[in-house]
Amino acid sequence: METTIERVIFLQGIELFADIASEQLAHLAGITKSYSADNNEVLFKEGDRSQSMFILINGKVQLHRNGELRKELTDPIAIGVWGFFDGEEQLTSAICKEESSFLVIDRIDFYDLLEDRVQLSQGLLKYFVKRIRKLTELSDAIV
Amino acid sequence: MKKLISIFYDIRKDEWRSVLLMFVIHFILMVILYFLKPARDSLFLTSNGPEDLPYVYILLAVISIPVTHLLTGFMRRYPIRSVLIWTLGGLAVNILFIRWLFQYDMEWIFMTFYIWVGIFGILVISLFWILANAVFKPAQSKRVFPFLTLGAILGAIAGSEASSLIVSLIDLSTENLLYICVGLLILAMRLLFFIPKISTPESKLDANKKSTRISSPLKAAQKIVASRYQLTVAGIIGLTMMTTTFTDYQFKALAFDAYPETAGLTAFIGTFYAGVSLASLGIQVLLSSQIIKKMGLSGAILSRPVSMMIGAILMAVEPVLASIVILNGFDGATRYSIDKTGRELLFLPISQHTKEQTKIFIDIFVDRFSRGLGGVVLLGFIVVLNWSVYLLTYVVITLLIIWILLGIRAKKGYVNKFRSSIQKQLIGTDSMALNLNESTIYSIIKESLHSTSDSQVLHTLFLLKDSNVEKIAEDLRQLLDHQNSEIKLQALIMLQGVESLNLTGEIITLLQDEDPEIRLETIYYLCKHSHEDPTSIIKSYLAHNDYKLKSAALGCASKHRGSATDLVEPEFFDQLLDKKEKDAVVIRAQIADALGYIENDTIAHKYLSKLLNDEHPSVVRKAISSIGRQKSDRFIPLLIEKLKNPEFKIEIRKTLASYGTDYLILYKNRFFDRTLDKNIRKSIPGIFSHLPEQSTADQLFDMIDIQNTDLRYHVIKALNKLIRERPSLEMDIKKVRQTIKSEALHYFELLSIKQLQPPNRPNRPNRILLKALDEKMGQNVERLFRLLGLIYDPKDMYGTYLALQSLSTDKRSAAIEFLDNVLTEADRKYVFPIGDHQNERIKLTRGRQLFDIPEKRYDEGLHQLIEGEDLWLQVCAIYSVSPQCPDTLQAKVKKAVYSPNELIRETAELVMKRNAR
Repeated sequence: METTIERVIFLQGIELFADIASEQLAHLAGITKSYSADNNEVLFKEGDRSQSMFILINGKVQLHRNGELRKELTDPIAIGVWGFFDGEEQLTSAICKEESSFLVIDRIDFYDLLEDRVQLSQGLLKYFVKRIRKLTELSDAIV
Repeated sequence: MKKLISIFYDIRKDEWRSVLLMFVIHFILMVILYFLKPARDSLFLTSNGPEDLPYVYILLAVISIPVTHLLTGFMRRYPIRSVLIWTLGGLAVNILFIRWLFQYDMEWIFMTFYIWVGIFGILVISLFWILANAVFKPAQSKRVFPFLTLGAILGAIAGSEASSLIVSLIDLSTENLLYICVGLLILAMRLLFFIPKISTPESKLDANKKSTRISSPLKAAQKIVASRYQLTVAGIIGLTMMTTTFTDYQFKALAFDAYPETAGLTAFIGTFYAGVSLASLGIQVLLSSQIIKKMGLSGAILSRPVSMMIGAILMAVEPVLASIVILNGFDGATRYSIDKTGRELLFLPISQHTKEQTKIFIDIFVDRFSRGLGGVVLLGFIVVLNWSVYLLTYVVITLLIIWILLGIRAKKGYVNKFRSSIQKQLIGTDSMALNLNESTIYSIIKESLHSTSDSQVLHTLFLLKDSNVEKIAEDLRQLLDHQNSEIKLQALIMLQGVESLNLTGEIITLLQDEDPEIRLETIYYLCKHSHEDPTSIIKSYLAHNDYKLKSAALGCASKHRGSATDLVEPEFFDQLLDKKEKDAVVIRAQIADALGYIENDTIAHKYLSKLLNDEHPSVVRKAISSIGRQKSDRFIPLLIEKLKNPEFKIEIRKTLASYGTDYLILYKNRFFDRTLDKNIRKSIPGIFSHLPEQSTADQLFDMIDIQNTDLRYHVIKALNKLIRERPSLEMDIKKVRQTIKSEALHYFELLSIKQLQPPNRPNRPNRILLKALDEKMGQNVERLFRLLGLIYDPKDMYGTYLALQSLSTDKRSAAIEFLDNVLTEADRKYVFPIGDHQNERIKLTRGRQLFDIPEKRYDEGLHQLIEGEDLWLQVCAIYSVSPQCPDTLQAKVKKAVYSPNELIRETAELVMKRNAR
């Protein structure tokens, strides 16, 4: 996945970026880097300060919290999203469980891009509002 | 003379020319008005008699409304100075015509003359103040306007006294006074040419605002009725007009009884007006502040009705001319002095937004309506009830009682309203200077300065700008320890003008403050409050070892002394800027700020150009704002280049806009310059949106023709902002409709290409193109609705656009229904087929009918996109070329491998590899 257009097509399938216009995704694709990780490689540890977001292309990643396995990811998905956006500590550790490939977005590059491309933040805002709505509906249902 | 004026009025060095010019113009206009008024009154009374007066009151009220509207229309199109010159020219011609008519000695001529003088008064006074508002900035207005008002009072005295003297001593007939007026009008016109051409700012166009911000007078009336306080204020103004209609009639009727001859009557009325104006001046200078100090708002708003009540009682006891002279004398003497201040105070606690809407309604409708109603009621008493002039006194007394009671009620409401408005920070900081002698204002302001809310304290400090703050100096002193540096700074600036309190010992500690602005103003305070020569104080700080103080002294000298370059060697700047110590950024920021005040253009350019590219954003921001103060043409290319950096885009746009509308053509040319970076070109329309003037809109309409839809979007967006800021701007409707048409054509062309794509084709290349086409068509629709917002209500159009994007079928149907009702046939034709959520094939059929879009083949559609201007569509179209596509398309891809654009090149290479598999 070396060209911008391929990356755009791939990023369109990631829920986090689904509301961003394809033309804007081309700019985002421009700052992504390919990365291959070995089996058992730790992408980040719980409590680490986030520097990057990993977007799984293929492979297997496990998320652990307090030493317990929380999730196993095999489909394309963005990993380390919350820490990436709020700059706080990672909530989980991410460990590759087979050779995996990723697109990586550096936090500083991403915020530089946001300054230039306000339309990108509109798409992201849409995603976060959708999530909040979902959570609100869920908590209402529980109550 | 300047020294004498400076004792009473705060007029600054660079303001004298325009202030004196405006003062003289105001003086002359009032001389003319008070020349005309006695002539009008006497000629009307001797020819028609006082019984016709109620009719002219009614007619004047009715005619003044369309005249105001007409004038507003002119002011929207032309600069205010030109409107005033033409109006005065027109009035001069009118005077000559009326003088010619006088030879026929017919009643209707004198009635017309009476109404004409009334209109003259309304036109000349309102136009003068609109001009004054355009010439002076809001912050200057608070200081300068009282001096201009003095010009009016002196003009009224001179005009009335002169008319009386000329008629009685020189033996010039009353009719011939009109020739003198023509001469004076020409003189005023001549003087107006020395005022620079300024377009009418929207915020000053009272009547204009009425027609724009308020959708209907009914809404403003509803707003007033909904607020008890505003209703009371409107009631007071209405009652004032009704009462004075009665007293004016009584005065003129009794004066006519006493002086049945024109010359005698002119002289009497002239002397009366002169006396009243003189008394008005006396009250303003000697009594106003005392009354406000001792009695507060009550004194200000009740002085007029209470003093008139004395006259009315006298009139009831002894119904002679002397009594009505006293009654009307009190009225006239208080009207433009203490009562005017009282009215301004009444409006003070009303929020800026509400005031903008309702004050205009009150000034135009309540005022004129009450005058007309007064005429009707007066007519009823005279004609129907056959009441004599003397009996009317009882009506006057009744009206005065209600007026006084309303005044008392307004005072009660005022205290609560003022307190809550201060707390909610609703009062505009450009409102009148706060008079701390008024007890309510004083106690609430004092309370507010000790609020725990920083924003409230800061807002209060801004409100106090240009007010005499001696009374609250101690409160300001306490704010010097405030943790908020902006509050500290504002308090320090205010204390600089306080002479009763010397805080040198305390303030000197602020030299170590973190904020460079505070250090600068501290040095200025020390200069102002020290016995030493200010220059030697500044020199001592310039020679100081502490570089922060050196730079603060430089800033202080540049800002407050007007020049600093004579105090330092040019190397001094290099020394400061080369500092690498921990405060280096602060020092550079202070230098960047100081350079904005420096007169030496070469030094300013040399260092500001350097600081504009500083690594620290705070230094760059200071440099941009200093360039805004310098306004040298040499900085423009640097600023335009800097627009590339989105971090400073907002500040740079504002600064470029501050150069004024003369520079818009230059920016427009840069916008069309294809060699310029596209990000810079996209930022240029944003400069225009800071200048809500007709000429700006006209320039943007020249730019809307640009082919690149992305750039066009920014032009439309700037126009949207302009019309939001100033709804009265005239849009080039023809151009808007042309653009709507071309946007609609573009939409259908994209749709026609989209329709060529096999809808359910599973392979990915085609899917990205379909998505890109959908997005581009979505952007097309947004531009279309933004364009509609230029000719229809922008809020309605935005609401409709959002509804059309909604997932709810009901909302979409309602939006379509709304468009169907609102749009004209010319617009509906293009917008409706796009907005209507129907099958895309049916949509396209309608598009083809409208634009005659030819049927294309699949490869022709891709061909068009690859050849088009839109880079992203080019890329997606190249990516869509499959091995099955015709050779012509394969050849396009081959060619694209050599494209200078990296995105196109890498996509073409990818497609070549993929198709070869």
